[in-house]
Amino acid sequence: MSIDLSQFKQTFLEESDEGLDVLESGLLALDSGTADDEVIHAVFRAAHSIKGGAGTFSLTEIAGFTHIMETLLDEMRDGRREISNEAINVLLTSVDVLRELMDSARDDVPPQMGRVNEVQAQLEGVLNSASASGSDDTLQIQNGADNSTADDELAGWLIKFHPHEHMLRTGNDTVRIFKELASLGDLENCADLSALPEFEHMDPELSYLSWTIQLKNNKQQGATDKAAIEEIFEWVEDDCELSIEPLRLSSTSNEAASQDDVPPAEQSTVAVQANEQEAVDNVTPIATKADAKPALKASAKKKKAAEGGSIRVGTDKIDSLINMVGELVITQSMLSQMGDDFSMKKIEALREGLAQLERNTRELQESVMRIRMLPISFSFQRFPRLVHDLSQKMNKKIELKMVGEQTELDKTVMEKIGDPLVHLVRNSLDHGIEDPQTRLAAGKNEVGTITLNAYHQGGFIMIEISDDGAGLPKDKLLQKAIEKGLVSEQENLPDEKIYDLIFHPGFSTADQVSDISGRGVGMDVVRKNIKELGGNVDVTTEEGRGTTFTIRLPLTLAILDGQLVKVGNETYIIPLVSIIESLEIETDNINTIAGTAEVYKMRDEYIPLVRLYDVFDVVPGTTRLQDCLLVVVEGDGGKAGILVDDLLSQQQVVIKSLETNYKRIQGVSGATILGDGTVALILDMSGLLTLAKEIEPAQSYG
Amino acid sequence: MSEFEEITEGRIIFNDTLDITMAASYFERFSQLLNEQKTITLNGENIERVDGAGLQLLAALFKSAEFLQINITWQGCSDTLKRSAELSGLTGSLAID
Repeated sequence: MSIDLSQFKQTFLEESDEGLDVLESGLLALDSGTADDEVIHAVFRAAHSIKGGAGTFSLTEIAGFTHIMETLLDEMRDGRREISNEAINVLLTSVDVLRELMDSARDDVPPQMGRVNEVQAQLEGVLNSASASGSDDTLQIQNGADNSTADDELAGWLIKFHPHEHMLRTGNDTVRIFKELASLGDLENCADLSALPEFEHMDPELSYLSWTIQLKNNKQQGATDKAAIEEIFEWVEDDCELSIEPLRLSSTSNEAASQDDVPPAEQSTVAVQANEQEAVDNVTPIATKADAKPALKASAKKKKAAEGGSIRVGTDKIDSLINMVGELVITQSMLSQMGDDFSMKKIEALREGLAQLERNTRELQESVMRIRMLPISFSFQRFPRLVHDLSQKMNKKIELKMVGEQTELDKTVMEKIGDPLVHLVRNSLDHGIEDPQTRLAAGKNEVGTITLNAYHQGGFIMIEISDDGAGLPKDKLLQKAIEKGLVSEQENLPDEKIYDLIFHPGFSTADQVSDISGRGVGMDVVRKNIKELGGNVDVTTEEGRGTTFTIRLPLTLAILDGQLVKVGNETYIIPLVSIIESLEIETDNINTIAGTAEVYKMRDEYIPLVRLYDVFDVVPGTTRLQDCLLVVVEGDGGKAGILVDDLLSQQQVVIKSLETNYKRIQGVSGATILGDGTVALILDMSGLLTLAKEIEPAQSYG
Repeated sequence: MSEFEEITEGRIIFNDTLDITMAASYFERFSQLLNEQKTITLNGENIERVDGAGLQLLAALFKSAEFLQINITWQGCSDTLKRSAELSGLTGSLAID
């Protein structure tokens, strides 16, 4: 019976995305020097898994390309090759190439082999370059102390195998593993029983032993390939701590030097015996390295795929959902029973039942919403690489700090906020952080800091992008604004309004346009995109000290808190977040500018009035202003007063896309179905105010 | 009938299988022997299948017995058991010649 593997391909690709994230973050950690030795093992394992999976699904380009990466990583983890910046950079580029290959595999299109071949050549170039390892063996080879190659030196493998407690319960058996190892060469096994508890305290199904194994090459089988050993441990690699290190001959060994006529394999055996103690001594650091593995594995597993059409949901969230549905069914059953035999005596019980139903529905709604919530780390994880690449390109020294990575927000919001975030971080890199010389001259640390901070506040998620760079130049911004005719020279703008100018279309203070930023075609788009998500972005800055962009986003796009308002026979919904206050109109406060535009004096400021019935061409209940109510809203940086016949209730509404079901309409962000089955339009304040400006009032106030 | 082919006081004759599926049963019997006996005799002639859990249980038995100064001797030992113990680096710990 053949198995259709194609059904698992999507899973492989998703897992490979995670593997690539592990690869990338590991390589960046190695590059910054913050990683411990175990990071290279995690990086190697990620490449190894991708290669294995790609081979299974006949993705030969991916398997072949990853094989070369794996070879390079193998040399690095064995200490045969120094971890150089050059190698890391080529490996990072290789990760990009692998992502492209994965995308091609996902879309079932042939990959662009030009770039693949180019980067493959770079990888091979690094592989063929002289190794610069600091280990004694490699140095001796380099110095030409003898003519033997690294393979000739290899006498076998030293394997440290420490099963996790639960390993035996997974159906894996150590005896089987040792039998298979013994089929590769001469096995010498030493069991460590020190972790065995007292007999009465042991659980016979848990594993307590660990082993140090010498697998020596023999004449009949020749040198053992490391991959063959790894294959034996493949099924238990997540259930044990494992290190496989080469057992090497000491090239300074007198015995080895005096036995030139002995066949190589025998030489190995002799020398290994002569240096047995040395080999055992070498075990200590390996064991130390192995201890760090679980943490690494945990951090690797923490990263889950966010992109694409699927979502991984924690079982706790599913359990909560199932509980809620259970409660709902019970309530429904209770109400149904009541309905079968209803009398007015049961009216109180009916009320209670309906209240229970409402609670259940709300809890169910919240549980369902939580399923779509993902930690913002999915969005943040791209930034270490971005900062690494751009800081190299700009010769700047930048440290990236990320805070609140586990803060959750809706998957759709997260996908849409990615690009604006990238833009803001690139801006901080390019314009915010100064070059090291300038920073030193300003008495700052030469390493600049960019901090990404996410947290919940009210029903919103706040994301701050701060840098300790030069800050925004207030005078320069004002000068540019005057040059562009955005403000007059006489105008006395408050500081926040001046800084807000950076969000104006086509506004840039960059002296030179770079390929990173500075064309002035970004910040307005950033604000626009964020506003489309129902959020906002503000900037605070201090010249010479740094800049902070603060993004405020709704947690979800699926539901909003709205104020229902009535105009004629129509009901509209104004997002609560846009409403500043609602008030009765005092006609004395109304003025007309230039004979057409109406404004309302609210305390010390004048706000334009928007007659909703004019904008949407509906028959109003009244046109008399004193009979109307005024809802003061904020949108697109300004306030406005919206005239409505009446204020109805406030409630959470489920947003239905008008664009998907009908077409995009300016001033309307969506629609919802109310409790009585009627459809109500949800107003988009920015669009509505723009639309209102285009419409002259049909009549003046009465 | 007991899960063991034959159990006499202080003596265990193993069945053909000493693996994780039998480990809990043998564990109980070993615990009993360690509490009651001063000498224990094991007969592993029939063992045809032994796994890591089985060997570990034997190793734990020998370790505890040594601590409690209980003497354990093998009456017989199958080739399978010998080979598995050797591969697992436990020949010495299990006192298998």
